[in-house]
Amino acid sequence: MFDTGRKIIFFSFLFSTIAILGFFIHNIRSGNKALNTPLNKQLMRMPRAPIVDRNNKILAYTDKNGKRIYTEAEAAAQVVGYDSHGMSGLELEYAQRLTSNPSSRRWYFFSGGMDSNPLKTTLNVLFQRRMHNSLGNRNGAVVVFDAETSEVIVDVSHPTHNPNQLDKTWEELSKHNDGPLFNRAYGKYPPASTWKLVTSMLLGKKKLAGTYNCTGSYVVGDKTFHCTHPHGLLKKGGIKDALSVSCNCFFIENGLKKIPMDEFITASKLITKSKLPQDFNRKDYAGALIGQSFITASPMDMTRLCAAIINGGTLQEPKFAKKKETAVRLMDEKTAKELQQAMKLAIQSGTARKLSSYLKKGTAGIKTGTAEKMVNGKARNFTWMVGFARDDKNHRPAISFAVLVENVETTGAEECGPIVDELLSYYFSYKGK
Amino acid sequence: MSAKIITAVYLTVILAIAGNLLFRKMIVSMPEDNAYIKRLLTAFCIAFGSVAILILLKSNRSTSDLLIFSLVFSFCPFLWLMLMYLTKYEYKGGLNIFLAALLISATGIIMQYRMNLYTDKGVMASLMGGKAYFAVTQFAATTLGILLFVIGLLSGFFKRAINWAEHKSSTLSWGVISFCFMLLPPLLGKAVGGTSSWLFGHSIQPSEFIFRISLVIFLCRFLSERHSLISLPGSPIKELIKNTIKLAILILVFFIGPLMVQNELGTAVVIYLTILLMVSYTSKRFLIIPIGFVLLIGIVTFFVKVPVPIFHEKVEKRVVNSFLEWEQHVDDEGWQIMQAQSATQASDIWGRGLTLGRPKMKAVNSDFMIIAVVHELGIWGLIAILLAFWIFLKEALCNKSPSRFRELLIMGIPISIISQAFYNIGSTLIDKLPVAGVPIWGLSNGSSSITAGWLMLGVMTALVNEASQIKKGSRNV
Repeated sequence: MFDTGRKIIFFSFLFSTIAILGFFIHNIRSGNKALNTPLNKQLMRMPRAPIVDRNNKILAYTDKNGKRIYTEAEAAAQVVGYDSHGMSGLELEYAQRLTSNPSSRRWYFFSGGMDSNPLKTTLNVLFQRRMHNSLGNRNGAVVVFDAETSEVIVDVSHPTHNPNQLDKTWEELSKHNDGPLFNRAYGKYPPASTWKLVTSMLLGKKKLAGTYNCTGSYVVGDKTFHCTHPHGLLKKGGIKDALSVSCNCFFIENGLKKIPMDEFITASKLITKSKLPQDFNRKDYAGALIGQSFITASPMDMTRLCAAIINGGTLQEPKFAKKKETAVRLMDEKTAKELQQAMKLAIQSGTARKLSSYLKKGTAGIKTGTAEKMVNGKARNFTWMVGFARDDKNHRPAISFAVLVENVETTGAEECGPIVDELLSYYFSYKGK
Repeated sequence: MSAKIITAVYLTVILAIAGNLLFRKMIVSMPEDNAYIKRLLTAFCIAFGSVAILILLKSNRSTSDLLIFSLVFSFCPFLWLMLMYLTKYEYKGGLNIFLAALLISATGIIMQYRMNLYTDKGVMASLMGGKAYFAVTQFAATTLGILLFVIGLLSGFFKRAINWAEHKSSTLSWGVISFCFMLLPPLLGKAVGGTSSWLFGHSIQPSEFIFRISLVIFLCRFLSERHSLISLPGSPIKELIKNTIKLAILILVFFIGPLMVQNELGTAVVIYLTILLMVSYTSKRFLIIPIGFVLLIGIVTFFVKVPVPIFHEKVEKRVVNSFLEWEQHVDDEGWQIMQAQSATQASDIWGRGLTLGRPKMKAVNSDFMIIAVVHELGIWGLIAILLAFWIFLKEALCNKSPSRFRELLIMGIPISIISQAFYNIGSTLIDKLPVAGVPIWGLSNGSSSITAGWLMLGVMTALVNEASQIKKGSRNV
């Protein structure tokens, strides 16, 4: 047997050998998100697996000549992305997964090439196409989630482009003023009245006065905030009614009195990943309470919020492939139910009443929003319609959605209404997954 | 499919050879195992030849490619020629070390041929008309190394060299020789890639000869002279500390100091680790290893935190930007590790198969060669390489030499080779150590490293043969 000195050497190298093999296997299995970057030239060289939707319809594949083909072209350009001229979208987020050796764990000789290991996403191609057509020539975004899991079903962004022709159009696209390469689902916009959902959520925990009389304006310092018209005495003075008619005065006055600033900021940070200021004045806070001043959010953020409202209060990160994500409890079930009722009221008799026919098919709730911004010296609107729907009759999972149309002269209800109509029509008539 | 089959055949052959050599009780020796050696070599040459043909068929097939193929393919007849010489001149001794080294070196030639990269620097490039393909230089260095190995064994040169090193040279002389050789590149050579380590352009790297030859002999001489003071269980800790400090000063002056001048911080770290293992082995005190590691971490942390001129910036780049926080530096110092991790992940565990991957990246012919090996040969390729290194270690562990110096030498040679190889793997493949710019013997391109390695493996074979003969002799008595 070995003496002590030999034992030391033997066990030192044995330990090193085991560590090498162990860490090698661990590194392969665990992956590393830092590798998903356009700087990673390895990913540019490797052949890529196909990307498919939840029903195995192909979104992207590599042909025999090694060229990447995007079957949905403009309809899914931003969400699927591209892998030439750098990388974007799912091509970037799952770059390492798309270039990993397929199915080689057991069948070394019969791995069948890259096609045997497609990336299965949560998108729905048919729904995606429908929303792409519905958004039409408007600039904006449509996002739809599975409200229970926050799986992304639709992610449409306009203006769009054809990723199959990027070699010819890259120069023009990269200099285009409207940014067709950018996915507006992640763009940050003033959420306007849709942010009242957050204010409502926080007010739900506070004790409010029995009635509220809206005079049409409310003064904070040297700034006067207006409602579209004086709402008068709100029935029962509750949040439900104020939300359904989108009364600015109600939310500003009650928000300033009842919600501490840091509580509002903490809740806002959970939903939007934007940088929020630490110090601000009362005037700015008043604006933030109704989704103006320093508050910005993306269609993805708003869809997450609506998902939390319909699923009972759980906020999750959006995902494009089935995986477990940590969830955060944004609100309790009672508050979620109250917000559901309030958003339902908006369809019954509020700003979204044109969509009231869907209440016969199942549960639905909407909140509209219109933010005004100066664009090239002209006042233009960023219009929102966010909400949820659940097909109770067929016991299908609920969805949450956010529709944004930018740079228009109309309101959220007028501009986004037809798109949401199309969306709900598709959802309630859809028979598949 | 055919590429995968040929890869599987190659992996099966080298794993079978490595496994057999490692776990076989009796050493493979001549003339007793001549038939076995011939069978082994036949299987190996078939596998090697198949892989070379596969790579040729998948590449450009230009004239220069055919020439390189001819050279690489001629490795097989060369091996048979060497076997013929050993038989003709009645070599009597073990060949385990030779066969293990052959597995590593042959894989190195195959992978360099597969990469098809070249350099336009150095003597070889000027001789080859401006493009020195790494496959050619790897082949040349390996065949030179094997030739020196065989000639050294047959002529008894290694035995005489060992005797001379043990009895006729002094410890200090080895330190002074190393010091002088190490100062040649900064004085006479040019800086290449941020280090001043080469002579004649990109051709000769004295630090590789120093690390593999004179450092090992210096250490063995130093430790063997003080063996009785530091290795007995009851010997005072004071003596151990005193001698460790003496050793540290000499190493700093003769080896690490000149390496710092050459900006070869990585080699300095590997030398430190080699010394730790050797001192621990000699003193039979395991605690030296963890204490040494903690000390090294302390020194590195000092240079990272304290703005010492020159060292702070270099150490920070190596340790923080390209190791601890490489994810935040993927656009500069972290880029190379990102490429390495990406290539490893893209191959999954079993590898893509020879010629089916995309392993090319910066320095893949040298420091990152193990990435290319694993990318295409997978975990089995990695295991084959590790087994081959373990064969060196097994020979050292299972053979006792008659004198202290020889015993330390027989252990010091594989320790220096394997510690450098394992550090390379630990830093590039599994990203658990800072990248040190040290090659992996036999796989990485480096004529100096390969040649010096073969010389020392020849010395080790001579020592193992001597130990075996003594063992046989004592059994017969």
